[in-house]
Amino acid sequence: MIKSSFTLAFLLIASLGLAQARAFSPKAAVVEIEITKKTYDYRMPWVSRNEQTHKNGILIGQNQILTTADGFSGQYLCRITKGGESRQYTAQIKWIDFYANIAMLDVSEPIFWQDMEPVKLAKKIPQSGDLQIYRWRSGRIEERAAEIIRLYNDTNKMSFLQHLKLSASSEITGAGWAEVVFDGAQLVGLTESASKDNRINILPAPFIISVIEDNQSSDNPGLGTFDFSWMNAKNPALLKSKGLLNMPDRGVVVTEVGRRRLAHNSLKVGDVILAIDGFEVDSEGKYLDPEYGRLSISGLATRAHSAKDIIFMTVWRDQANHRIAYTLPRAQFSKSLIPNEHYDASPHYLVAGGLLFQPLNGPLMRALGKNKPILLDYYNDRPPLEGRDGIVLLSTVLPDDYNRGYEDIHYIMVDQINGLVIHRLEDVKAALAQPEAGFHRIQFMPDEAIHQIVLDSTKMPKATERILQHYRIPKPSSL
Amino acid sequence: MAADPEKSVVQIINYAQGPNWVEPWRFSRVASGLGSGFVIKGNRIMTNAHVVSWSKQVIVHRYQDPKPYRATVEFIGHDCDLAILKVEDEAFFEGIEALQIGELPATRSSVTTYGYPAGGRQISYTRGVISRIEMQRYAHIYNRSFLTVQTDAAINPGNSGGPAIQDDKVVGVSFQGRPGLENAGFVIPPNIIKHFLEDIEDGKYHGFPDAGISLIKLTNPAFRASLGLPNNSVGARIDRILQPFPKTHELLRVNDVILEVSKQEVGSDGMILYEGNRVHCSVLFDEAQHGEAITLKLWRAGKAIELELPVYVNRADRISGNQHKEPPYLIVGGLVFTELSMNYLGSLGRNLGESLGSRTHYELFYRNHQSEELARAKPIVLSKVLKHPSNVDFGVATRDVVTEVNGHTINSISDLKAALISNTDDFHRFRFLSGAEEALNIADAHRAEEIILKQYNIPNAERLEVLYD
Repeated sequence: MIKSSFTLAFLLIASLGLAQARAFSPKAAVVEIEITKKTYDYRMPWVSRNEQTHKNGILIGQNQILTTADGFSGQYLCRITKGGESRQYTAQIKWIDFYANIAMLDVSEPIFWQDMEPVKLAKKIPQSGDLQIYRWRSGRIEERAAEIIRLYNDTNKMSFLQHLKLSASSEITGAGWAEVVFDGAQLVGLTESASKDNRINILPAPFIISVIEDNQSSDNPGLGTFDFSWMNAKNPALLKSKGLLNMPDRGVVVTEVGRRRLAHNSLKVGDVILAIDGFEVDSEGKYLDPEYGRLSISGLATRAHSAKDIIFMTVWRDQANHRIAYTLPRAQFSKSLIPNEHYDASPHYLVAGGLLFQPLNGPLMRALGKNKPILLDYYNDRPPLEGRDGIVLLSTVLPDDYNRGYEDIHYIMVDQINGLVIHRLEDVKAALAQPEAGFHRIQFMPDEAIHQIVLDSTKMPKATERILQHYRIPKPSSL
Repeated sequence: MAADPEKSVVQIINYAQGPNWVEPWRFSRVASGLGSGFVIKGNRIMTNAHVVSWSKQVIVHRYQDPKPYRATVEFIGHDCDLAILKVEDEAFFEGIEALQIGELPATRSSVTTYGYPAGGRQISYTRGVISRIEMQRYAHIYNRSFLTVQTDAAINPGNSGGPAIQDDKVVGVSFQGRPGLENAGFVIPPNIIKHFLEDIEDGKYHGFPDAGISLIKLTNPAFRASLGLPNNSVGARIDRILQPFPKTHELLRVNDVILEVSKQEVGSDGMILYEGNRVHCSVLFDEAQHGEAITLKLWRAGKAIELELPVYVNRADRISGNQHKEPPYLIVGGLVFTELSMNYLGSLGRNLGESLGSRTHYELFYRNHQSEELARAKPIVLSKVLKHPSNVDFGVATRDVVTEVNGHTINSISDLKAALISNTDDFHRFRFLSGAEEALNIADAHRAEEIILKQYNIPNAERLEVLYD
């Protein structure tokens, strides 16, 4: 499905025609959002805490409050303040796209929408000049100037998606929480992050429009991504060694395919990509965008396509040009051996005989901090492990007479239990139901410092019960 | 017996020049280091290996004698951090009585350390108590642990190589401290010293053999029951057999339980009672010389068996330890390739070393577990690109490990050399651990070679000597 991003933009604009005829009033469009959510300590996954996040949003139509998805994971109460001083209105999440970092909210109380003036999203954004950033601060609108640095394609803050971004410099402090960015009366984007050197990263309006389009469609294909890596082919000797003569400054070389296990189609390591989607690829991996100039090819997956679309590429392979049909895979964390993110869900775990098993994922890896064994990084970075859907970590052993001798074991990857290969927690549960001659034999990955342990299967249920009580763990598993 | 041990203790000044691991044709500026040593029988001086490493010139001073004497390194054992020096001028030994090597001191007994620590020119004495005896990592080699004696006698830089004396005999050689521990110095005990001296009797130092097993405590009653063992405190389990130890693979099995080593009972925690101290049973393996056999009593398949396990010095897996010979390198078209090693990693500095990425760390610390062949592999890293118009567009970042050249797998600098010289094409093709690939035009590279070597003042395009004997 080829997107008609700008058509949608026109539709939005048309639906807001009355509002757009008026001058932009930030007080009537910008709102404050308070999110109350559960957060988890992945090292004690049965423990949750409450936290609040405050951020910004903007009305872009009737019953449409636009903000970023950042900070919404685990939310159970979302309240909105308008005009800097109103009571808090309870908001509903109409949809949220953590991959794109966009969320759409609604407030069902009609009174909320009185005197509010939705704004329009810019269908095209400037590449230079000044912008204005707005947010509520202590009941007053704060307006800060920003200067555009550049437009570029980069990775989304919340996922591995690559898309158009806008970077600007501004003196605003503590930004990155969906502060709204305007060019005159047009919304050009929402801030996504800010660095200490006054640099603001902005999700630009054209990208937001395409995400809204996807999420409002009844058959949302989701955003697509390129599941391959490439390197510049600036070295003429490299191209010539592949028989690609007289084509200086063209192409990039494919170095890895299917790392995220999303797509193994079409491309091969060593291919030289000469064109994508009709755009010539230069030796630095850039193409000439008709609207925004020279940009990285990484953004071509989201520029005008959705997942499942076929993008045609010209590649040089085996001394000849080939036209390749690349089926754009949908971005999905869950397909990776070690998923990067686990949004909007409590951490999964299983306690058996005092052994705490957890699926290995990004939040757990980050929670381990400096204690994280480098072997976990290796399994995260290594080429895909064939025949394994995921990895389960024996993250700690809660000491008890039952597991005596294993108290010091932690952060090791499980390979098999009772002869069954362990991909996920459900496999642990299934394997523990099939002991071998009265014992549970747990084997770890071949690279680990310890290879196996054995436990008494007959005593495990009582030991688990005792340990859960002793360590005040409310339930044995969260699967 | 030496009545005045201090007369047998010497000061050592080592003028050292180590290699640059990133630009391996270069060497560091000459630096002088201070250490201590002591005279043993046969007109020899014993000191630490780290005191005389990378030595260009060694000067020794007798006790209260201003005359410098030139010494040379006769034997050096980097694994056990011991070395033997000889002094050509026999006058050096006149009036000096050789110190005798004693026995392992008892904990809580007193020792006096002798040496020339930094901060003065005169000999220094510190008295302390033997506070602990156990296995510790030897920092000089980094990837081996041996028996170590801990004392609260102050051991400071410059003390290294000096003796710890008890009853006029040497009961230890001062060698290391440990950051974060106060009033704790470590000395190399007599069993390690004697092993070293016995080893060099044939005129060559072989080193400490390894058994190549990973021994895990076996205290869980269920695991013991599953192996048919009584629930007592005897026997530790072999969890893994390391590479490359073909004889160990032939004779031992995973889940064999070691009940005795050299007729001494092994506890379920892997410890034995060694001269009154509970230490890991590997201390008994360290008593064997290269090629000697150790008697093991094992529990296997429900019954006890006894066998003789020959153990061998194994240097092939030491890329995870510090290297002590000049790194090999090969330069082709301005691309500098050298061995990935702990030293290479260390020379990058902490931040850069960490930024190398987990796949490179895996090459260094884990890949050698996989097979005998890989255990002997020496990964090769692109350490530098010496810029020249012929390679200026080479698009692979330095510090990447080269995995394939011209279609050949690269597991050593010799593999690299062979892959380059056997190529009959117009291009050298390189593939790296990161997945990146690159190519060099051979004719261009060849033309550039001489210019690059001259421009960067490099004496030779390669140094391919075998790192270890």
